[in-house]
Amino acid sequence: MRRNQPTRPQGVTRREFLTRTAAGAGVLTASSLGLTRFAWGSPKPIVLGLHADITGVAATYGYWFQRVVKAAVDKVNAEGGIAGREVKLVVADTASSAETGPRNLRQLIYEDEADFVIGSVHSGVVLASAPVAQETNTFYFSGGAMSASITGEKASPYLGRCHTHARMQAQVGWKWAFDNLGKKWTFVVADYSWGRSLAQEFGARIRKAGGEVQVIKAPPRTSDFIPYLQKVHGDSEVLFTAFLGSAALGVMRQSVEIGLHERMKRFSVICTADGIGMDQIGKEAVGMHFLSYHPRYLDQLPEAQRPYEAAFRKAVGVTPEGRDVSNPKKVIVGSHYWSGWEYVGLIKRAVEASGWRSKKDNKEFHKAFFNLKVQAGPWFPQGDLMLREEDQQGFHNHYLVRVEKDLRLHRIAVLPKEQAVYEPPVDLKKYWT
Amino acid sequence: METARPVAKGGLTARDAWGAQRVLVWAPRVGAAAVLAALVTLPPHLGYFNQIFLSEILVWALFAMSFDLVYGYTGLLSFGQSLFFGAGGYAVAMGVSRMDLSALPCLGLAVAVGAALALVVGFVAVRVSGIHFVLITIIFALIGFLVAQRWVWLTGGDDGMTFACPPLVLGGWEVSIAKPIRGYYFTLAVVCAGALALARLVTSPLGRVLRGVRENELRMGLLGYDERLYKLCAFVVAGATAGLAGGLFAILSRFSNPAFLHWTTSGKAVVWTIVGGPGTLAGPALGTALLMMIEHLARRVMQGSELVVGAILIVSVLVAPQGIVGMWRKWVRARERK
Amino acid sequence: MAQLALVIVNGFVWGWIVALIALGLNLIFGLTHVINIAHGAFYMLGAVVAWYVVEATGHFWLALAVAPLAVGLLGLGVERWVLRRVEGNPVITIVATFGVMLILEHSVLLTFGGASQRIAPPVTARFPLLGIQYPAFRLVVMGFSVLAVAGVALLLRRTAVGLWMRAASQNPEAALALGVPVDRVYFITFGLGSALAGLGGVLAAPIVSVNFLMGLDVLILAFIVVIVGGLGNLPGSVFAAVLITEVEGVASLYVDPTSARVLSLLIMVGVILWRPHGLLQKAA
Repeated sequence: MRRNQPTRPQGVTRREFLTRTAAGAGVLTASSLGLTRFAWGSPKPIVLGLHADITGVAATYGYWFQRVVKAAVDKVNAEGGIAGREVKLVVADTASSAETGPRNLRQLIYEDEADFVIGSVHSGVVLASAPVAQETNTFYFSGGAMSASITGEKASPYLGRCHTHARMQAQVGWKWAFDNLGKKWTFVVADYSWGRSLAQEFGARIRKAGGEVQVIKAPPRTSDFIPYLQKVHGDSEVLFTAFLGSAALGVMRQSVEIGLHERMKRFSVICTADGIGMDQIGKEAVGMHFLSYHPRYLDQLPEAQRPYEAAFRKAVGVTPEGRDVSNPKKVIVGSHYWSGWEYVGLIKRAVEASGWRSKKDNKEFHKAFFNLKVQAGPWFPQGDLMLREEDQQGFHNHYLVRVEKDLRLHRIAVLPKEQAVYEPPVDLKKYWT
Repeated sequence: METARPVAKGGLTARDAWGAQRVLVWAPRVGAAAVLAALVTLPPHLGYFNQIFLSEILVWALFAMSFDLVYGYTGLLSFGQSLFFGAGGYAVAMGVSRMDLSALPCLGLAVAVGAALALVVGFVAVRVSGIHFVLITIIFALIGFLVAQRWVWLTGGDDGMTFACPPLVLGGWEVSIAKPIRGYYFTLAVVCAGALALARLVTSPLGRVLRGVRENELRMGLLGYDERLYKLCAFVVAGATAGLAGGLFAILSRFSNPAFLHWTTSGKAVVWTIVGGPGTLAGPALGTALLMMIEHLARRVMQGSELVVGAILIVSVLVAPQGIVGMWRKWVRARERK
Repeated sequence: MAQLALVIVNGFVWGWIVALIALGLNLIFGLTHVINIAHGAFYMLGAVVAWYVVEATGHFWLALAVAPLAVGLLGLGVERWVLRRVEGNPVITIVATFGVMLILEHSVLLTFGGASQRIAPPVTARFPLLGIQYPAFRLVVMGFSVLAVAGVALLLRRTAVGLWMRAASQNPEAALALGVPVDRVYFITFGLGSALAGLGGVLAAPIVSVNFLMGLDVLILAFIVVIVGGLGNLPGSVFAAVLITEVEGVASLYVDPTSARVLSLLIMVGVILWRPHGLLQKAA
């Protein structure tokens, strides 16, 4: 019987693999060093780390962040670098994991000597990375992570965020939806921090305004939503769903399948549908409302920003319809990935304004960065940005979009950044003075 | 069944056989001493990242050894180790942030929590064996994961908890172990202590009973041993060890997260142990170190590195089904017999 | 009351769908004792292949034929080149199939991408049922599940191959001595089990969407169903699948859904302790 035959050890396999990967590493390093436009003898490059979710649940985001940050670094180098120094990009995978993430971040900082890091979209990874950022005095900028606590209860001097989060979304978005969609809301959300905090933040404001709130929390990896969707009150006017990954599409599909879309308005944050084409939900997607942080379609941007956005898309390789130029099946995570582009612009301006030369000048960098006055421009297609020093948080415009018959997301309102502002929950200034 | 063994070329002389026996006895000891010497002397020259990475490998090696005690020595395929590891991490998080404890009391708490949870899970699980045992431990780990995500007030939910590195207080001395090299030596000391305790245990009379339970449960029962009690005993010790590893990991990384409780974390220990060689303690440690390094290096140099890691796992179990250390022992014994 | 009735009806339908996903695992684990960690990945692959077929041709029913075939062929390859040498040692099959799972999931991530995609259900009708609109497609999937379970049961009970399969699982040595080609039986069993996983993937995809990690969502559920139902016991595993979906659905009417899931898991622990040889069998 063949199955019982002992096999001769083939010790070469592992060794062969190691030599081959070592050779691979050599090739990678050579290619990333090649083609530089900075001459010999020019100052030491600034190393920008990208801590991207290349594998694991958030892999779509990692894919797009790599594209965007690479394009941004190419642009900054083509324009003479930062303070005359070349920017060198190094990428590490978080594996969307709180175990692997911090380890690879340490390597990015200790071995690749990253000066600044653009980080994960995964809140658990960002928070697990905070101790590493602190121990290495390296700024870590959240790359789309939506937990309010990152710049709230769990704020840390080396964490920064220029984009929105769950609490800000409720702050800026609830009123419009309450006035225009209905007063009786049902939340069907994933039973983990992100889903719960959306239900809590939106729900509290709606209750306060005299509305009614029903909250149904389902385990994050749910396949069959009918037991939960059938609990939705008959007289509810607004259905708010918030799941991620395969469940995100599942819940949207299944609410259509049981006909909830016929009797309720559907509203959610775009996180639940970023990277998902509306054609994937089907023609029943028509009428869904999303709170968006940056339009997916070029023609949905305010006119003044469109030239900047067009150039940004050209650099990254994105069509005006928000799809990958080389693979139209891939939809951008347009409401998230812009922060990767803007961080590069922000770092450039803050380094040049503060005269930052190394981590010894972090204090000056910090002061400059969080006091930048940012207006729409080539580095800021998302528009004006207000940065706040106390909690190291940025504020920007949000958009309300609706799915129309053409299955595109149409802008129906711009919610100005001033509406998004809330009292700073912490004051990190003390740390920096 | 025809079993064609590869036959060594030429006969072996008596002198060779004596040499082989010497190899069996001395090579592991010399190897262990060399590894320990390297672990003590090399790290200061390695750079911060490698110091921390090495600390992590040590912690996960201890975790794999805790699994080896239940699986390799007692024959219980437990997927519950992640529960004890994760809970140990939370014990340290509580100890630091709520009780303001120093490093050693924190670890004591982690051990206690791991042991207590293992007692509860084990009490139920040892009533069944084989795949039923596997499933029950998976279910408990899954429940632990769901609960940790749910009880935000206790665990911080899936954002986890972050905290400061607790100091090490010995007698009247207070030392910070926040620096990578100090954290490393602290980890090395604790892991060595844990590993030595496990090694003592498996060579003790209790260890022999456990192996007896693994080999023939019925016979041990007839001989008057309460096999369930012995299984539970091994399970609790392993739970305490996994709790210790989880606590150490939390001290090193200064955060804890529900993801560690998920049964897939236990799966890592299973993979490392099988590849390294179950029932040997050294094997799981070796498997952990090799696979963690390969995985890390592969991920660093290429995208899609999991394809390579997957292939390595497959090839490894096809080539060495008894694991690396098991293979080595078999090889030496085969020579010895000749 | 209508809510309770609806949850019970839906639990029954969904239970059959879960039973379909677990059916292949039941064959593989029940008959060859391979602990196939890659089962979820085979299920996912079925959905992904179906998505490509539907994208290219627009025909769901074609995908329903092609995807299980493709996944079944892959399963045959995995048995022949990976598992054949380690069968008989369940723990080692965990590591080997874990390696297979890593390779499959990440191959799909590299080609298909990380974003979820959808396959449009071929049947979009829905009908009023106890206060909601119920999608008819679920009944179609349940119908396929009934057919698949019945087909496999017939295969095991009424054909020579089925007899060999049962013999090889109960006592491989004796079966071999009696002239059963055990190797070939395992080969076929694994291929068939993989094809059934692929079938489950195709049929579930229009309901749950296609994603490279979707296999992880069902892996443990499938194992629970197979083990609680009793190894190789097809009616038992259907019963277990319906039981777990009913308990979770009904409980989530009264407590929050996560607690309902914890409760249903605890009940499964109880069942394992009470009837370790399968729900429908008396203790041996």
